[in-house]
Amino acid sequence: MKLLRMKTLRHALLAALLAASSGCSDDSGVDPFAGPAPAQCPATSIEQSMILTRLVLLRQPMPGVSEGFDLDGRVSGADDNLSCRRRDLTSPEGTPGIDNQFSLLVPALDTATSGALDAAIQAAINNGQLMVAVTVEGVDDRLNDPCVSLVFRRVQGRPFVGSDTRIDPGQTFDTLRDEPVSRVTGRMRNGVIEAGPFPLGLPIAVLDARFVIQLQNARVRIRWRADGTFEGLIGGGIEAAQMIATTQTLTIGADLMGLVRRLILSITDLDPDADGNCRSFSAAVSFEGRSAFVNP
Amino acid sequence: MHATYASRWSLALAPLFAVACSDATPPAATPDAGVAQPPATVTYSPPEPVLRRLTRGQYVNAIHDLLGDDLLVTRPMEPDVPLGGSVSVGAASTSISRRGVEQYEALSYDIAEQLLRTEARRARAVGCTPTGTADAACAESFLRATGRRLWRRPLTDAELSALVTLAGNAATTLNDFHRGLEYALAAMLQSPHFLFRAELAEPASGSGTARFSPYSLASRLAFFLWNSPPDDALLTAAAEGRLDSEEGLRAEVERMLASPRLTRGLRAFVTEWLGLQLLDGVSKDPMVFTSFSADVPAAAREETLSLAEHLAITRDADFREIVTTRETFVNRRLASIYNVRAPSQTRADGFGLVTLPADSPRRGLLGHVSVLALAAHPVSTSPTLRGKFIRESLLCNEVPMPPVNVNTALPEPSASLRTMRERLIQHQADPTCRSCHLLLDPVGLALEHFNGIGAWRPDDRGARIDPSGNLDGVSYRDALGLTQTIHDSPSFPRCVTTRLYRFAYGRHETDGEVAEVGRLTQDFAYGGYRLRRLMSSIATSAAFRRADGVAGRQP
Amino acid sequence: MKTRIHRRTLLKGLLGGAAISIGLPPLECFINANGTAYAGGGSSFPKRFGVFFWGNGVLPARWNPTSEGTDYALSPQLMPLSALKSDLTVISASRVLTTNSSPHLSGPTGLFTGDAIVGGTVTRPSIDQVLAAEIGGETRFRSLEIGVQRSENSYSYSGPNQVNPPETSPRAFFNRLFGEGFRMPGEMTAVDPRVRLRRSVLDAVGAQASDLRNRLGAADRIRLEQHLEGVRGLERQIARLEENPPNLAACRRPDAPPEAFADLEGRPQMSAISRAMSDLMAMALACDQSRVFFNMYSQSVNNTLFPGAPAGHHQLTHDEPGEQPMVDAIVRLIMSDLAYFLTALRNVREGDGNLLQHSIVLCTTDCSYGRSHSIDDYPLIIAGSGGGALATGRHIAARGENACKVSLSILRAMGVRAPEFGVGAGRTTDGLSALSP
Repeated sequence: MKLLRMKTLRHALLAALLAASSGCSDDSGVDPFAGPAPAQCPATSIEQSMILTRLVLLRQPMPGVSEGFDLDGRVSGADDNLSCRRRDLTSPEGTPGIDNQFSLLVPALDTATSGALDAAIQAAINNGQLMVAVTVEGVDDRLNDPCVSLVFRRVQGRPFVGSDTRIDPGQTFDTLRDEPVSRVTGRMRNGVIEAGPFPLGLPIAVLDARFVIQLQNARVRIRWRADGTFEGLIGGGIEAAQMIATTQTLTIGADLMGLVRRLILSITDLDPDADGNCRSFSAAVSFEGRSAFVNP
Repeated sequence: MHATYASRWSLALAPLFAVACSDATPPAATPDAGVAQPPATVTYSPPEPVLRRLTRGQYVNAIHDLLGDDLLVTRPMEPDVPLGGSVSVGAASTSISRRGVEQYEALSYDIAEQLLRTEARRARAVGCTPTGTADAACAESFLRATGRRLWRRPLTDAELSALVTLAGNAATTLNDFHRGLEYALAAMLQSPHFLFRAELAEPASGSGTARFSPYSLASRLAFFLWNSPPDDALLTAAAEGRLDSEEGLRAEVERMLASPRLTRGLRAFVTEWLGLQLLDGVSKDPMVFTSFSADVPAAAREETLSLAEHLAITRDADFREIVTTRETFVNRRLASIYNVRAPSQTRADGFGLVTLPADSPRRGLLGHVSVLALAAHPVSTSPTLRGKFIRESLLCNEVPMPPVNVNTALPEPSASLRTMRERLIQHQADPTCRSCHLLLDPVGLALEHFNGIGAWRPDDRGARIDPSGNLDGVSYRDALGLTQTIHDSPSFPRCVTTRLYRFAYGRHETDGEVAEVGRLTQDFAYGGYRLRRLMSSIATSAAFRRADGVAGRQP
Repeated sequence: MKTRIHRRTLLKGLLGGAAISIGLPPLECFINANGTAYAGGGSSFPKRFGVFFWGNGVLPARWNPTSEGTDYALSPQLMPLSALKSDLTVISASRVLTTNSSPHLSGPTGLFTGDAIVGGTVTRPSIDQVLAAEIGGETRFRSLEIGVQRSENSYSYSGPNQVNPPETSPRAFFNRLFGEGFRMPGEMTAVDPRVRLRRSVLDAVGAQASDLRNRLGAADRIRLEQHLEGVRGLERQIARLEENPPNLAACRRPDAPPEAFADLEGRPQMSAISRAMSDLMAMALACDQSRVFFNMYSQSVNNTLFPGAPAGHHQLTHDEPGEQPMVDAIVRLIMSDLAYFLTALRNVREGDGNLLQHSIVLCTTDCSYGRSHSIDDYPLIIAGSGGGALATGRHIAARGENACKVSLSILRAMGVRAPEFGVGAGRTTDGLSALSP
C-alpha cells in the first residue's frame, strides 16, 4: 500500500501555520490544501459510496513496526510520560510516531480465538452483520479536492458475495435505522483522502459477539484504486474502561478476563488523567472496500 | 440442432457483402410522415400446411389456461427442438421421441389426478354430480366440454363415445367415478390431437384458393398471439363462422390483443428471436467472473423479456428503441452487475423499471447481460460471437460457416497483442478468414467494454479498448454509436418482421412468401414500428388465412 | 418364441388393486443348461450396440497409433484405454466423405446416418435407431439415450429432425430404468389393474388420428406415425410388466445414484456423472432392458469447463496455441471416462464371456483436429466384437476409406442384412474388410 507520507502532511500543515502566522492577507497565495479541512464542503452532485468488504486488525509484521496514524502528534519514546511511557511504532515506510498499541494485543486475541479472528470478522461482513458504508460527498475532482465529506453509516441487508469470498461491487444497501451516522470533512490528494480527527463508532465482530467500538480522535485514510476498489486505514483512541466493559460481556471466563484487563491497562498510551495515568489506548485497522449505493 | 454455429435452413454460401442494407433513408417513425402505405395484398403462394407439435411453453400454458392455473406442471417434458435457431420452426418438423411419449404419459396422469383430487376441485371441474360409479351422462358432459378445449375443436360422436366408454370401464374397475374420468382425461392429454396441432385446409368460397378451416385458424391465432390454445370464446367464434369474415376476424384479434395473454405470445417470440432459452446452459468460470452467480441467467432472461413487454405492449412504442433505450428492468442482482442503484419500486419478483443515467455506456439489448453473456466464452468476451449475434439476430444477415481445414487459432495474448482487437487482426489479415471476420469482428469489438458477463470495464487488463468501427459503411465511435446505427438501419425492422413471421407461421419464408414479408415490413414502418400493430397485421392478413390449395386432403 | 409363464396364471385371485411384491427364487424353467441364458431356445447372448460420443475432436498427432496390426503400440491419447486393448479396434485414416459444410456437425451426421446435413438438420435415422428398429422390439426399451454434459441434444435421430434427447441426470435415468416398472427376475407382482387401464388408454390413443392421417401431407404422416408408434411401443413396454423379466444372472437392481451432481467451483462433475451413468447403463444392459444405446458424453462445440482447464473445451481447441497441452489433457480425461464405461460393461459376466464382448460400442467424436474441423483421418474406436462378429484387438489404418464402411460393417455384424449404407458421397456397399473376423 503506497500512501502519502504522514511527514508530507505535517510539512504541509507547518507550512500552512507559518503562512498564517506571517500575516499575509491576500488570498492569492493561500494553498487550499493547507491546514485542516473546513467544517463543511461545498456541495456537488458527485458522490461515491463504498461498502467495506474486508476489515483487518493490524498486527506488527516486525517488532516495533505497524501501520497506523500519529494520533497525538508526538514521537514518543520509552521516556515519554504523556504517552505513559509507551514507545511509538514506526510505519513500514519508516514514518515514526505511529500510535497503534492495540497491535500488541492482537496476537493474544488470535491465540484466544484459536486463529479464527480474521475469519470471524470476514464471515460477519459477508453475512451482513457487519456492514459499514462510507460515502464520499462533495467531490469536484477524482484525484485532488481540497474539501470532501465522508459519511460513515451502517447498512443492512444480505449482501451478494462473489466466488472470491468478497461482497460483490455495485450493490445497493439501505441505511440501518436508528444507528448513529458519523460525518467528517477531509482532503483528497492524488486519489488519497485524509480526514479527521472525529468521533467514530466502528462495529466489530469477535467470536459471536457484535459490538461497536467508539474511537476518539479517529483518523481515516482512503485510497481510490484504479480498478474502482478502495483500501484504507482507520485509527483512533479507545477508552480502556470501555474496552474492558465490552470484553466483560463476552463469556470468556474470569481468569482470562483478568488477563485481558491487565493487558488492556498495560497498553494505554493516550489521554492521561490528572494523575498521569493514560485512559485510552491507540488502535488502527486496515480495510478494503468496493463500490456501492446507499439509500439514506 | 444446437450448435454455436446455428444450422442454416439453406446452406447457400452468401456472397461476401450480401448484407441487406439499402441506401434508402430510413422511414420515419410516424404514419403520416411521408411513408407510403403498403399495398393491401401481394402475390402469395403458401406452402403446404404442417403438423405442429406443442412446445413446452405451449403445453404448460394449455394446462393452465384450459384446466386451471393452479395445476402444477413440474415433471420432465420432451424438450423443444430448434431448427435454424427457431423453436417454432423446429416444432413444425419434429415428432415425439420414445422417452417423450413416456414423459407425456406420466404428465397426463399427474395432471388428471391433480384436477380431480379433492371434492372442491371435482365440483369445479366436472360441473355435474354423478349418480353412481358409472354415470355416462355426467361423464359425457365433462368429456365433451373438456375435449373441445383440449383438442381445440368439438369431438366427433365416435371420439366422445370411445372416451366415455373408457371412463366407464376405468370407473368400474376402480369403483370410483372420478378416478375413471382421470383415465379418459389422460387419454385426451396423451393424444396427438392435443400434442400436435394440425393446420387443415378447406376451399375458400369463390376464390379458387384454399384457406384454413375455422378451428385451425383459431389455433393459429391463439398460439401466435397467446402461445396458448384458443379460449372458449374463440372456439365459439370459429363455430359460428365469425372468423370467416374480415370484421369477425378483426374483432377477435382485437380482443386477443387486449388480453393479458398477449404478453405470453410476445415473450415466446422474443425468447425464440434472441435465443434466450440458451441462458439455462450458460457457464462462466467463477475464477474469472466472481459475481456471476447461479441466479443471474434467469434474471437476465427476465430483464430482456420485461423490457420487450414494456416497449411492445405497455408503452406500445417504436420497437426499434429496444436497441437504443436507457430503460430496462433490473433486480438487485442485475443492478449490482450494471453498477446502478437498485430500483426502489419493484414488482413482487424483485424487478423494477430503471432509467440508466444519461452518461451510461449501456443502451438497450446490446447492454443486457443476456445478450452479452450468451455471445461470449466462459472465460472471456467474444467479439466474433457478438458480431455474429448482431448480424444474424438483429440484421438477418447470412453468416456463412467457417471453412474447414484451416488453422483457426488466435494468437495468445502477449505484450504486443493485449486486446481482443489486436489478436483478431490476424483473422482480418488472412484471406481465408477475412471475408467472414470482417463482417463479424469489427461489430463485436464495439462491445469490448462489456466483459464476458456484461459488466462494464474501463480497459482490458490495463490495455486500452478501442470500440470504434463501422457497420456496412456507417462509422461509429463506440457502442452507443453502434446501437444507433443498428436502430437506423432498414435491415433491423425488416429482420424483426421476418423473425416474427417465422414465429407465427412456424417455418422460414419460402420464395412465394418473400413479397408478403416485404409488405409486412413496409406496414411495420408505416405503423411507427409498433410491434403490437405488426402482430395484428400478421394475424389479420389474408396470407395468414391462406392455406395451400392442394385439394385431395379433405375428409 | 419365448417360453414365459404369465403371472396371471400363477397369481389369479390376487386382484384387488394392490400390487404385492413377492420374492421367489428363479424358476428352473427360465434357465437353460448353461445356467445363464434366458431366451428359451437361444443359447447365445443377445448382441448389443451402442455409441459413445464426445465433442470437439482429438489431436491427431497424439491420437493415431504409429504401428498397425494386433501388436500395435497405443498412442498417448489412447493410453487410458490400455487395460482394454485386447477388446478394442482402433481405426485410423478413414474419411467421412459427405460434405463438410457444417463444422463439427457434418462428420457425425455422415458417419451415423450416411448423409450430409440437409435443410439445416439430420434427415435420416442414425445407426443406433436403424438397429433399434430391428432389435428394439425384444426388450422393454427400444433404445436408451443418455449423456453426461447437461444438454437436450444428441446425434441419435429416428427420422428427419427427430432427435432422441439424452437423459443426463443419473437419478432420472435410474428412475426410468429401475424405478416403478422394473422387476428383478423372480420378483413377482400381482396384476395391478391400473396397468391394464394404462394399456387401454394407450391402445385408445394409438388408434386415434386415423382420420387425421388422411388429411396430412406425406412428411407429416410420417411424423404422426412416429408418435403413434411410440405410443404403441409404450403399451408393449407396459405389457411387459405382466410378463416375467428376463433372467440374466448378472442382473441386479443397483443403488440409486445421488439426486444431483452440483458443479464444483463452476465446473460440471463430468467424470463423476459419467461413472454413475456407466454403472447404470451396464446394469440396464445386463438386465436386458434394452440392447441399443447412445451415450452423448459431450456435445459438439461444447464449451465445458473441464477440471484444471483455463477455458471452455471448444474455445481451447481454437485458441490454445502450439501443441495444445490443455486440449490434450481434456482428451485423455475423456478417454479415461470412456475406459471406465467400457470396463463397466466388461465387468458384467455373461456365460463364458462378458457384456462388452457381446456388444459393439462405436466410440467417436465430431472431427479429427478440432482446430481445423477436419473430417479426414476420423477418430474411430470399436470396443467389443459383437460376440465375435468383428475382428478386435488391433489397429487398422483404413487409408482414405469411406468411414461409412465401418457403419456398414457394424450393421452386418449386428445381424442386419444391409446391402448398403449411406447416400450420395457417403454411400457404400462394402464394409471395412479388415474388420472381418
